[in-house]
Amino acid sequence: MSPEGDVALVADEDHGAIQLVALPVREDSKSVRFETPGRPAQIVALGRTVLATIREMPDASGALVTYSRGADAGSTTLTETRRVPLPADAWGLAVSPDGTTAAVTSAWTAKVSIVDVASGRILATRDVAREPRGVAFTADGDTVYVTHLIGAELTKIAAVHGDATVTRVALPASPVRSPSAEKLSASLGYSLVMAPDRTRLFAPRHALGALGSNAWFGASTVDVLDVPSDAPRGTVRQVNAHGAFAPIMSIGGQEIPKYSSAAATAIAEGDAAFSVPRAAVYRRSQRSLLVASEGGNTLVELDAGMSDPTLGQMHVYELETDREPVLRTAIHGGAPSGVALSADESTAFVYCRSTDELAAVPLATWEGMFDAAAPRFVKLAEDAPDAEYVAGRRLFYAGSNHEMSQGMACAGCHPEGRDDGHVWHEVEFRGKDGEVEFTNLLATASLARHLDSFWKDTQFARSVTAANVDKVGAGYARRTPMLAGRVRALGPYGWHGEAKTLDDRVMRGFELHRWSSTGERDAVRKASAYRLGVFLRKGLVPPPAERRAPTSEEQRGREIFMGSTAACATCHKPETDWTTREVLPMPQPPLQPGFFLDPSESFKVPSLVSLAGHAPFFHDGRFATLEALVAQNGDRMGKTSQLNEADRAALVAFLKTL
Amino acid sequence: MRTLDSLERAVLLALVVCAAGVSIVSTRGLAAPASAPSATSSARPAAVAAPVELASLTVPVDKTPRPKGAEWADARPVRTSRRTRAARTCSALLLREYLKVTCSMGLAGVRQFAGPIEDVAVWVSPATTFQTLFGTESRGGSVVFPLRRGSGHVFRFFGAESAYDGGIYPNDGPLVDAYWPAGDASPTVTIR
Repeated sequence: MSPEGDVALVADEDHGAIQLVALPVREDSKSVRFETPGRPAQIVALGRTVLATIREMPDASGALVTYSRGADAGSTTLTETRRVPLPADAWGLAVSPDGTTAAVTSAWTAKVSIVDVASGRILATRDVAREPRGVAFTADGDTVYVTHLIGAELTKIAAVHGDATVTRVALPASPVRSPSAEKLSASLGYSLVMAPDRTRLFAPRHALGALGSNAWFGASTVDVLDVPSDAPRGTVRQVNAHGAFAPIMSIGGQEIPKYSSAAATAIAEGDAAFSVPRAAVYRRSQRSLLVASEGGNTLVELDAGMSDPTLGQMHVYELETDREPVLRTAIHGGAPSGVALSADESTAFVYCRSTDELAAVPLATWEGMFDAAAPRFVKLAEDAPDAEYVAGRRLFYAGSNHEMSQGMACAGCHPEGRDDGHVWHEVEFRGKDGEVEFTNLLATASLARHLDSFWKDTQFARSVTAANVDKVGAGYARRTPMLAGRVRALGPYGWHGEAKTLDDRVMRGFELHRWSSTGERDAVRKASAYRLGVFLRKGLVPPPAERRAPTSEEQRGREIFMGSTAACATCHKPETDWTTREVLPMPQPPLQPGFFLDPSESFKVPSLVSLAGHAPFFHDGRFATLEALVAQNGDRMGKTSQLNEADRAALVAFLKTL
Repeated sequence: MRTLDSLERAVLLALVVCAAGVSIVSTRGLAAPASAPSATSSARPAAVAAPVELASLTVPVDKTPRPKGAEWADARPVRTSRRTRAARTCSALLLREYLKVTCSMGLAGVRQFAGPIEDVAVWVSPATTFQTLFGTESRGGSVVFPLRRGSGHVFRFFGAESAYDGGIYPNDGPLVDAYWPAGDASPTVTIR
């Protein structure tokens, strides 16, 4: 939003443009498209000055670009005034309270840059953990906090005008829904919101392994951090807590099921408040938090005063006002991925990415069951001519399509087609005859054990048993693969190459990513899988790669990689995305704690495209860095035991260029 | 491959979320304990006094024993942080650092979800008929817990509803969320 409230500005990444819409939104409102030098990610307007992060400039770097907006009220003209080159994939943007300093996160390159707004001078650039996204300043403008797409910890950079010291801040995900007081990891930390008094930070995200109604993957959460004490506000779930229940087991002589034992020892409220929290904003007048639920096609209003705001759901504003009847894709309000408030906080402006719209959403000023007025949409771009691509794009972001998944979108585990860095537990449930009845992908070992207990101990138990869950480990390790730039081949797909084609693998995913029936609409699922495949291949943008001449060390690493001794290129062929896609027998490495030994000893050769930013490595995520992988590889993959330290470093340097 | 039907899903969800092995104390187990808070209005003559904002009161930081039943006669009625629909069926009393939240509804149970269990007590009046259980007669339940810096609690009051399969299932009632960050001057308590 412009500070004057006369124009809404949208960073339209998919069309490489800033879209400007004069306010208020009317039925005949249209957007004005302003081409940017690369894909824009976020925008902040300071008076007539507009700052925008650009993910990938023509030279593959990132940038913070400054524009001047026309002086007239409602002006939709922009003039570029400065480009500040930054590390590639410049994404998140925040400005200090006094407007003098900007902080930019560069997602794929894992850096945070501090920029003086007036001069464009870069004050500091710091390496941080993988996929930094949301960023917020403290009241004094000298400290920033950063959230990440991967992991629960925040990054704190203190003294940004001085030493710019980087530390990590623990913020366990959804302690109130943790199964057994374990500290849960998080994903999808796209946004970070500072309370107006700058004493609290709100981190909407996804808690991996939290208990909830769709808990195969976890639950939604808004984790709150006290500033500046860095103390998490969440209240930890109490496993052995107090409870009192009316003794109603035999009222009137009628036997009544044991409702008390099932009386929700985890809180159902708000556990699925949103799916993929893509953006958020604080609503001061209501002391609430508005979260754009990309997978739910909703805008959710939460009570910011709660220890976890998802416990206090105040309103759900439905954005998907129309839906295609067969594939059930959104016609309006698809994939809300940006949100801003009008100055009087009566309207939220929501960017709906998959339907290319700006929605003006009237907000309620009361709590209750009455619906607010319907949103009004402004189309930002016409649909692409390829209808299958359009449908696949909408399906990719949809988290409420029962044919595909139970509560989570493709983009929930593969944000932007990348990966959540998580290692899942694939649990097989077998019948008495030993045949696999069904298979679930579960977020944590404790969740897998809960499911196993259910089947064994309840009155609803069938003769199925989790075949790969015991006290030591649960499920086979399945690290989320990256999709962007790695799905060009016909096949095979899957860690063991078990799916012949991409469509087959997507269909398999539909069954894994849930714990209930996929329904009877098999033809619809096949149609959805095909369209998703079209989008995965055409629509996902691979992470930016540096374009420069290789260093001597990288050149040496390439020689080792391509040479006949190490023989890396025998399987990782450069001309086919650094893989032959063959399924080859591999010696089993020692079992990772928490997992069950996978009986399959053959693995598909994985692609090495965009390898450097894809940690952790291996199907079980055992290596946090490429350095560790190469150092411990020995002769398991190719032959690297003969390499000295310098050659190993050279090989790593080369791998990081792929 | 066999998949789950809708009933199995519903039961699965309910049981998966509760499979952490919680021990539930029934009201029989708490039958008239000396320390159980009273839920009767006769125990609080201060009920006629207008509630004051909890944030306007100074909550003592020293630890004291949980109040006995009769002590609640001296408690201050307080208003919690946000007026919500759910909170209309509930009232709150503050005595020293202890908060007592009482909700009148067709009540089947009260349960603590989060926070320390020390100095916490929950109570619900026994249901003896379907009428009391399903809310045609209003009944009460209370929870008493300490407000202490750096700590928080979450409680849920439950009603009950019958399902098509003849079973009785919990029906969510008011949720109490109380926490006191170390840096805050007073605790934040929300009933919704």
